[in-house]
This record gives sequence, structure tokens and C-alpha cells, in this order.
Amino acid sequence: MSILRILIGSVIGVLTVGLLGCGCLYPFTPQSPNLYADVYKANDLRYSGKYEAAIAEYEQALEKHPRSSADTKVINVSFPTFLKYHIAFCYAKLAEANGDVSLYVKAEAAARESYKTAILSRDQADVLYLWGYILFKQGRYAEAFSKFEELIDAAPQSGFRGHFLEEAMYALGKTYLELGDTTAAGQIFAQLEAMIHGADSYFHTAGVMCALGKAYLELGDEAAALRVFAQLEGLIEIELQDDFLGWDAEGIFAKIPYDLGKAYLELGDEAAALRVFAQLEGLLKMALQGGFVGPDAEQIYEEVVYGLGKAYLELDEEAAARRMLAMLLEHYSDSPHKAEVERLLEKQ
Amino acid sequence: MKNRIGIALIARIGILISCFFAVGCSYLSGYITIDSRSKVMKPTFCVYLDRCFRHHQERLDIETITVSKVRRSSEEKKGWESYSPARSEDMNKVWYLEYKPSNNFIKRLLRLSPSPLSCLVYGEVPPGYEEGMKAQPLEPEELYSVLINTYNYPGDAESLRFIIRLDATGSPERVEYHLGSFFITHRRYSVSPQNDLKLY
Repeated sequence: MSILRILIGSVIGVLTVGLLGCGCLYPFTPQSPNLYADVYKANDLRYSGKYEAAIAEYEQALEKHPRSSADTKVINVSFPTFLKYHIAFCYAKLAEANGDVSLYVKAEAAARESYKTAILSRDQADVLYLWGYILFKQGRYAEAFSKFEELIDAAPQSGFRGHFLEEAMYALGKTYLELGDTTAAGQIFAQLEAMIHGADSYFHTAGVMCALGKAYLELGDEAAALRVFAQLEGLIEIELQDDFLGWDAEGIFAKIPYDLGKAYLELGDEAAALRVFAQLEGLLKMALQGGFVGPDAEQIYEEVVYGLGKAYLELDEEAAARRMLAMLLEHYSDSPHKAEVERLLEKQ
Repeated sequence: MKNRIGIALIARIGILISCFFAVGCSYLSGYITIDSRSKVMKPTFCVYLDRCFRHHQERLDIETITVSKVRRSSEEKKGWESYSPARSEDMNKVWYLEYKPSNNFIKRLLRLSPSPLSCLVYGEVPPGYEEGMKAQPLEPEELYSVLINTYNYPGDAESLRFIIRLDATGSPERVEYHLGSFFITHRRYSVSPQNDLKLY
């Protein structure tokens, strides 16, 4: 027994020393700046919406970024391209959140610097889109137009496609609309419609499809809007037949059918609105009862359930309204609408 | 008793492994850089151990190096396909070099055979290496990709892209390079940044 204990003790000892040697005591010294740790930390902050803190981290990473000496002719452009892009992104989102337009100036300056150093076309495309977005948000539509146009013109060469291209096409069409060129806007939207025609992915396409329908309405082309909305309804139907929601249950999952129903209401088509709302109810039940709603989407779902209840009330669909308002209280007991909903339920 | 020893053993190993990963060193792979003292038209490529240990500049040995001109039309795709790597047929190979240790057992035993190197100058063939493809002159303003297989070390180093820039007079002025996996749209995050930049 004692020999066994000594043997096991020795094994533990050897493994401990070995692992200490290979791992914890490996000559990794935290005093040397670990740029990547800063970048990951900054990314985590940026993706959780803490933009001010993220900017500080990105700036810190930029400071740590090993600078090329003045006489060198070899320059690593990965870090400035990446860090300046994300700084620009965070300033743009901060400007939106705080309503402080001066932050767009900082965002644009950072985007310009990022673009100057980008050598990969995929990075250049990312920066061009962000740059155009920043200009659009400032109401500088002519300049935004040139960025989106450059991005789309480069698409065949750079090979970018899919959802990103759809977003860029939509942005270009919207910019034409803002510039008052409805003919060109219509042509771009028609191209976009052709691009997404026959799409079978709700998650990837539903957002831009719904927006396209609304853009057609802005153009006064009701027939085109209804054509796109009908296609979107088809996608929602496909999604309903899919039992596996998984990560799809993001905000878009509920928001798009809700927006579609509201658009039908604006068009005065109550029957279509009720049809979509019925689909939406099915989706909500699947997502909420199945526990598929992630923390990021909670607020959107709460607003959609509340909005749907109110929409049913406007449509004099009292039983349906009661179902939705009860669903809100069941799943979102801390909702800011709680008092109002309780009052509405009592009144009924 | 045996169970207690077993639990203690597993717990200790677990703690030590966690400790190793906690310092941020989740994987060990090589990475390529271009030496800052390189000549513009003849860059020197070096390969080092994982960037986590970058400050130690621990070098790895190069077994093969492939430099290819990237056709811009087929660079990595954007959008939901954005993480698919460029297809091999989209690359036009311009240089290939391979370390070929001597077949003579005695030479190898006595270490008379040249050792593999951790830095190689574009177009130069050091002792112990053989050129699988003769180096073609690099063209300014063209994008190139560098791939390195390391010798006696598991896994390939991540790739590197570089471009030779011209000055205002049209003379080659500098080399700009981009680390292989360091894109704006990062694979660590499944959601594209454009998702937050919708204009609707």
C-alpha cells in the first residue's frame, strides 16, 4: 500500500513540476504588453455596447502597437486598420446613442485613417461601408453616395457578396432616395429585389426584404412593396415550419413580422396584417416557451409582444390582445409597461 | 483512498492546465512577419512561435515557403461567406522553397548537414534548401500571400499578405504587410459588424 502511495505521489510530483515548467512558469511575463489581450477585451466591450470603454481600450492597444522606426521601410498595417475601424465604429454608435453629432467627426477621421492603411479588399469594403454609414448619418448624402458606389463598383473585383452586398445595395438605394433621385433609387431597389428573389434564408434576408418593401412604399410603388411583402410572408412561413430556432431567435426573428404587419396596417390591409400577426404569435410562442430568446433580444421581444397586444386592441381583436398582454406579464414581469397592461386587462 | 488520490490528481492537473490557459495562451501556432531591415524588393520573411510569446521572439524553423500573387478578383469573399479562405486556384505561385536535409545518415548524425532557417530572403536559396519554383520578380502594388510550413513543429504558421508600395515618383518605397488572421470582421464574433450598421 505504501509503495503504491509513493508511486502515485511521485507521478503527481512529476506531473506538477512538468506542468509548472510547461505552463504557469513558462517565460510569459505580463509586464510585456500583450496587445492581443487588449484587443480581445476591447472587442468584448464593443460587442456588449460599452462603446466609450471600448474606445479607451482600442486607443490603449494602439499605443501599445509596436511602432515602426522612422527609417524602416516595412510597415505592419494590420493593427492601425483594425483598431481605427473599431474606434470609428464606436464613435459612430456613441454619436447615435448620445445624439452628439460632433462624435461623427471623430468617427469619420478614424475611418479615413483605417482606409488609408487597409491593404486587403475585404477590410477596404468594411471600412467603405462604415465610412458611408457615418456620412449618411450626418446627412452628407452626396459623400455617402460616393462611398457606397465605390463599394458596390468594387464588388466584382473584390468578390464580396451575400448579405453584405444586399446591405450595401440597400444603403445606396436609400442614399439615392435622400438625394431625391427616385428613378435611380428605383433601379437599385429593383436590382436588390432580383438579388434576394428566391431567398430561402429568413434570418439572412428578412431584414433587408422588409426594408425594401418599405422603401418601395416611400417611392409610391405599392405593387412592388406588396410583391416583396408576399415573398417575406413566405419566408416567415418556412421559418414557422422549422422546429429548430436556436440562435435564430435574435431580435430580428420577431421584429420583422411585427414591422411587416404594421406596414400592412399602414396600407389599410387589415386582413393581411392579421394574417402576419397570427404568424408572429406562432413564432413568439415557439421562441418564448422554448426559451430561445437570448439576453440581447429580450428587450426587442418584450416590445414586440407589447406592440402586438396594442395592435390587436386597435383592430378590436380583444381576445387576441388579452392573449398577448397576458403573455407579456408571464414572460416579462418587470416590464415598464406592466402597470398599463394590468390596467388594460382589468378594463377588459 | 485510491479515489481521494485520483480526485486530488485530477484536480491538480486541472488547476495547472487552467493556469496555463489563463495567461491567454490558448493555442500555439507560428506566425510570419517581414523583418524590419528588409530591402523593399527583397523582403525577409521570418517565422516565430505564437504571438502570445512574441516578445521572446522565439523563432521556428522553415520547412517550406510559398509566395503567391493574390488575384484581387478572388480575394476572400465578404458577407456570410466572409470567412472562407481564398481558393488555391486564386493564387498564382511566384516562389517555392523547401528544406531538404541530407540523406546521408552520418552527415546528419554529425550535424554536418545545414540546419533549417527561421528567416529567408525572397529569391535567395540558402544551403540545405531547394527551389521548387524559381522566384519571379515581385511587382509593386500587387498583393502577395506568404505561407510557411514549419520544420519539426506541429501545424502551419498563419499566412501573411504584403504589398510593395510606390512613392510619388513611381519608385518602390515601402512594404506594407497584414497578419493572416487579423481581419476587421473577426471570426471570434459570429455577427458581422454590418449588423449594427443597418440603415433601416
